[in-house]
This record gives sequence, C-alpha cells and structure tokens, in this order.
Amino acid sequence: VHDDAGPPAGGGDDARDREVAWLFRHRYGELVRLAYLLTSDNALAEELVQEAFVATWRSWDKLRATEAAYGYLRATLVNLARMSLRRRMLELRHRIVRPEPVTEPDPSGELDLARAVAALPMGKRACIVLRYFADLSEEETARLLGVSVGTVKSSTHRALRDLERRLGQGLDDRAAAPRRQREEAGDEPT
Amino acid sequence: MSRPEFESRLRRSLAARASTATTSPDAWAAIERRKRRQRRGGLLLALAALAVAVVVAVPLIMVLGGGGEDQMPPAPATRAPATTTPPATTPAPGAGGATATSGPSSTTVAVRPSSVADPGAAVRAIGQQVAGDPVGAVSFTDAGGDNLVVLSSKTEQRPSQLAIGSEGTWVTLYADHFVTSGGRTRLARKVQDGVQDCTTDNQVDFKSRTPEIFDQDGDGVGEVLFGYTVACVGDISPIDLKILVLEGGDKYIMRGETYTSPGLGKEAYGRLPVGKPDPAWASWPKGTRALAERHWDQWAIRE
Repeated sequence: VHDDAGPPAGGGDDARDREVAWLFRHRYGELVRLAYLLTSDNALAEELVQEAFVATWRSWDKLRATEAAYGYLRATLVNLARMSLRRRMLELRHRIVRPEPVTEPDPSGELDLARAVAALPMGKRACIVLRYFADLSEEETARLLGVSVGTVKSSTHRALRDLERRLGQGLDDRAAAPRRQREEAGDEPT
Repeated sequence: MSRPEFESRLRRSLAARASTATTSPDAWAAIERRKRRQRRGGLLLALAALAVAVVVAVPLIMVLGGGGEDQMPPAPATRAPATTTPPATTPAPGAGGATATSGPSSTTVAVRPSSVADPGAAVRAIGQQVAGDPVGAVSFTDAGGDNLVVLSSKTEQRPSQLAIGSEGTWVTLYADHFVTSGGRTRLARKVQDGVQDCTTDNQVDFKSRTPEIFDQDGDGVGEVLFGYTVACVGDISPIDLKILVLEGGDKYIMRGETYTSPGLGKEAYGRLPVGKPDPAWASWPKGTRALAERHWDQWAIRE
C-alpha cells in the first residue's frame, strides 16, 4: 500500500486502480521520455505510454507480484513502440516525407549524437536507448526485447559503430583492438 | 575518443534529448477514458459471448433432451414492458453541423449544436488560438460543457527541398476541439495531418467545412464527425481518405483510400469497401460505425 495519494483512481477503492495510479504518478514522465527516444514523436510517445498503462491495468491479475508491474509496463511500452514504428513505416511508404530540418550543428555534439541515435533502425535504437538511457543490463535488455543476449551485444556493438561513422569520429574501441590485431596478423584461431 | 568516453557522451546526449519530451496535464484523464472504453468493450464481449452461448446451447440441450416437444411445459412467457425508445438514425453526410441525432437515452444531457458564423472570432472569444486559418467550426453543449470544434488549414510555399529549383507546398490541416467547463477552457483533442514539400497537386482538404455533431450512443457526450483527404499526387490515382469521430477527447479514425470514378458515378461501385478503423469497431461509440461508413460511401469516390 502506498501512502502518498496518486491521481484520483477511477475505480474508487480498487487496489488495482490505486497501484496503477501510483505508477502513473511516479513513472509516467520517465516512460514518456523513454518512448520519446524510441519514437522521436512526443505525442505518439504519450499515446503509447497511456496505452501501456491501460494494458498493465487490464493484465493486473496476471502479474506475479505488484513489484513486477513496472517491468511489465516498460516491456509493453517497448513492444508498442516497435509495433507503432512498423506501422508508421508502412504508412510512410505511401507518403512524401519532409526531410529533417537543416539545423546548425550543435557545438556540444550532444544533440547531434541523440539525432544520430534517432536515425538508427528500431532494433539497434532500442538496444542503445535501453542500455544507455534506461541503464538496463544486457540480460535485462535481451529479456525485454525477446532476443538473446548475444543479439543485444552484437546489435549494440554495431549501433555504436554506426553512430561513430555518422558522427565521423574515431571511436577507439580498445576492447576490440587486440582481436583486430590478431586478425590482421593472420593468427586468429579457426 | 575512447569507448568509455563515447558511452558517457551517449548517455548525456540521450538524457538531454529525453529531457525535451513534454507530458500532457490531461494524461491521467486520457488513461481513465481508455480504461472506461476497455470496460465497455469487455462488457460488450461478455454479452456477445453470452448471446452465442444461448444460441448454441439451447438447441443443443433440446436435441440432447430428445427433441423438446415432450419437455416440461414452457414457463409462462414474460415480456418486458414495451419501450418507446426511437431507433438511432444516421442523417445523410453533409447535413451540417447544426443537427445532432441522439441515441436511446432520455436521461442524459441533450447535445445541442449551433453553427458558428465566424470561427476566428469564436476561438478568440474563449481566449484560444488555432495554428491554421479557420475554415469552419461548430459549437455544441453536452455533458462535458460548452464545446467548440474548429477546422483550420495552413498552406506555405517555399523552395522545395526535394526538387531543386521547384516550389514546394506544405499543407497542414488542423482540428481543434475545445471544451469550456466551470469557467476553464481546455483543448480536449488536437488533430493534425498534411503533406510536406508537395511539388505536384496537393489533395489536402476537408470533405466538409463544418464538422457534424451527433450523439449516437445517447450518453450525452457529443460525437464530432469530419473527414479529409491527404495526398500529393499528379494524377487521378486513389488518395488517402480519413474520417474521424471525436468524443470527449477520444479519437476514432477510419483510414483508407478513395476510389477513382471515371465519370461512372458512385452507383457503378455499389457498396464501397470502407477504410480500416482505429481502434477496432468494438471500441467505437455505439452507432458511430454506421455513421462513419455512410460518410465513407459518400466521400470515397474521387470523380
């Protein structure tokens, strides 16, 4: 039971409504920001988060524990974002799309990098956002996306390389360097 | 830049971009509305399942029981008192915004629409503004308060970013639904759509300049119906058609394509396949499906 009053719950004293209201109060903004990074569309992000809240409310009885609700909510949101982007891609095939407005380069590079993330394909973008914004581990990201840990590792690695290329910066991938040297020397074990 | 430095920069960038996301103050109300819709949909499903069960089970029991004729005498028939509820009607498309057709309930607040002669002045009168040039509006009073729905559009021409040396046209349509209640006006729903950088013919226009108002489900909350086409084409190929119903801030939309009629007239097509609903029909306010489909038939022919 949470002692801080959430928004007025529609179902009166229904525990499910109270818990969802508490989640809304504490997690809504954070989830909108996550959805925004996944979709690059503020209005769509809000719609998806609201949809995820309703889905969680609907499936409340199936949750193992109320502590699992936030994980369920987040997983639902990521799935909704992926489905929504797939649908939008289909729509855009029939529509002329305005190119990204030409903007002055950001001297700090922060926004340029975020824009480059937004331009990544959904799978890679989800890995980057979940790993580096939501701070999930590789295992958690894999579970949430329904893929293997290996897929998360390779997608993240490729996404970082893409970002590096797009930004035209040299990323000193020290972890990979010894492997490359071995490959070049021709002594990579077969 | 080393990997840890790059990752740290990536975290900062994502945090900076995420911080630009805004949240609507009406978010909780929107969630509550969605929940109510789910409850309503669930109830309908349960009723449908019950009806199916009755239809399937009763004959089955009769067959298994040996035919039914020699069963116990039927219970005396009980009949519910006859209701005088008139059936909901669906006025013809284009009937205008000054008509509202109510559903069966007589206990709810009546939806009373009225036409708006000067949409711009009406918007200013409630201290609001719209993004485009107003093309039409309708006001109505319902259980939620005083409503004003304004259709507006904005057209801009500037050098195309797609075809060098050409002029491109940017057309955006807006529908703003304002609700005033308790002395406070809020934007219940904003719809925005259009084409960008169109270098051929833009086919972006409302099908009717005035939204139509109904109360098909008789819940005292007005349903606003309007439609528009949105396309950038240089021929007579099918273009996107959308028909929307707004109710209490909720949006219901049919998306599909027009049909090209080379002088044959609409009769040549018979009943046209309608657009796809979003959300599914079961979630739409009662009676609005027939209404939207009827408008689709009217608007989907591209002569």
